[in-house]
Amino acid sequence: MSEISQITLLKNAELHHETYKAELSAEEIGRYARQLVLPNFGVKGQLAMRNAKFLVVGAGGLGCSACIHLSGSGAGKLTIVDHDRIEASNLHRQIMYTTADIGRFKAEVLVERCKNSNPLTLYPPEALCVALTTDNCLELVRAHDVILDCTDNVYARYLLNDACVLASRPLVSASALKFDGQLTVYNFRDSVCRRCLFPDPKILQAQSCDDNGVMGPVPGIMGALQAMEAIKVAAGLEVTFAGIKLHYDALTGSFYRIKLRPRNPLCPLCGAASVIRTLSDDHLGTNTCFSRQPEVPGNFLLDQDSRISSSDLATAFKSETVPNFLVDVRTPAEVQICGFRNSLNLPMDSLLDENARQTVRQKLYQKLQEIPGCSSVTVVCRRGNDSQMAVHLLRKILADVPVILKDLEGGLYGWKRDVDPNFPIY
Amino acid sequence: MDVNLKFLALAKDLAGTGDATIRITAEESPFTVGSFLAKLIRTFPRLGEIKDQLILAHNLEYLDLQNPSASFELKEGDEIAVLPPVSGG
Ligand SMILES: [Zn+2]
Repeated sequence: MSEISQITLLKNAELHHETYKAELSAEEIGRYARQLVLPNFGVKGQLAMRNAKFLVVGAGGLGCSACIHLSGSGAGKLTIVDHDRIEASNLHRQIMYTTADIGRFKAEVLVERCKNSNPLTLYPPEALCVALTTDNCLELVRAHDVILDCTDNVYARYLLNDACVLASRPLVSASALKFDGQLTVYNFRDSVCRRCLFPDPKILQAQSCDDNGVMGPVPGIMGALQAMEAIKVAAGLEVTFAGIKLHYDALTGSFYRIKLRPRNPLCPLCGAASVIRTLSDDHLGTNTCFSRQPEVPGNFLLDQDSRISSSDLATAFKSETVPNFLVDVRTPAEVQICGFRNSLNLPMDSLLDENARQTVRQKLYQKLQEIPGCSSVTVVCRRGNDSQMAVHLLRKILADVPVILKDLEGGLYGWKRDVDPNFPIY
Repeated sequence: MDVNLKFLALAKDLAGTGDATIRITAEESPFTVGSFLAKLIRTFPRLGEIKDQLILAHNLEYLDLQNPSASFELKEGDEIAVLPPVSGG
């Protein structure tokens, strides 16, 4: 038999020329064109994005960057949780907000921007201008597929971690501070959870949180990386940072990928004998900041006799009857921004450093010699917390010197509030 | 032998440097995770302030500080990265 005769003739209908398209609208195809043509993502990835529900907690620098990428990429459902309002000091890094937005709820504005960026998402993005708590967290996590931790505090980070393990959801977590950023995906298949690494949040909450400087691009970069990992989770691509912690050092321009441990069998949350079965503040510590907490035992707050109010200090400045000088315990970088002229800068770090104490003592001693009859020293910081701690430390350092040590109540913030409304705060 | 140290984030501030080398004598090795951390803190005392908040990585692999008696082998030119978790957002 000749080969020709084996060919089955096409039926009429199959010859008929028709067009086809994927299960995406023409508008969607046009909008997502540049990612649809990528073989690793393609139509399959786009449909997965449309069906995925993303929960973003935190609408700050990380959240701005992550959310606009997620909605732009076609996230089916995007819920943004944040109860903060926009302040001027946010704008250098929270790139979706403008000067005109100051005072408005971050989540509300970010949802607006996402809607404007992409009106084609399956559901309109939703803003929840409330705090994340043990009461609402688990339900929110269960209602979504991929969770993004864009928060700025240890309490919320553990709350989300616990909820994600209890509800079996992957947690794409990023952070940014100063020149550093970190990223990892917790609880994705068998990757670690946060408590596998650090079981007790209270230990991390002891970190000082008044060092809240951050370079603008760092959270933007980390938030974009976070969106990328969240898209990979949703689209079924290989998830790079499950079980791997990325550390970005912006000062040296280096990225480090640190391979984390496997899940900890002794983890109090995801381990075999877990003790954490519900969301509870008992396991989460506190969401208020501690100041530094080292060697001053117990309560370091000063009694009223050891404090001077801004208005009393202003009066003392004018009268000049009691020679007095100021010790400013902020960092040298902060001292350059604003402060009191002729004050002596002794940064908190130098007071805490055993090796620096001798130098501190010499500087103070010299200053006291320079001002004849000086018998009192006022310690100043930004908000009036470090200054109280500093008075305790200075009393030790100057134990044998007859000098009265007080702190400026409320720090420079108090000075602005009660004496000089034009004084800048930062 | 010399081992390279890489301090990141707050660990960099407390150590006062991003990079350092630390000399290891023959008697000291093999180290346990705990004894290595102790040596780090002896050399860079202010790291003690965050000793419970550190991640140590040996050639970019996690060292389990919750299991301080586990020993590990250091070779000339190995790198130990020292970093605390960053929490800001
Ligand atoms: Zn765990």
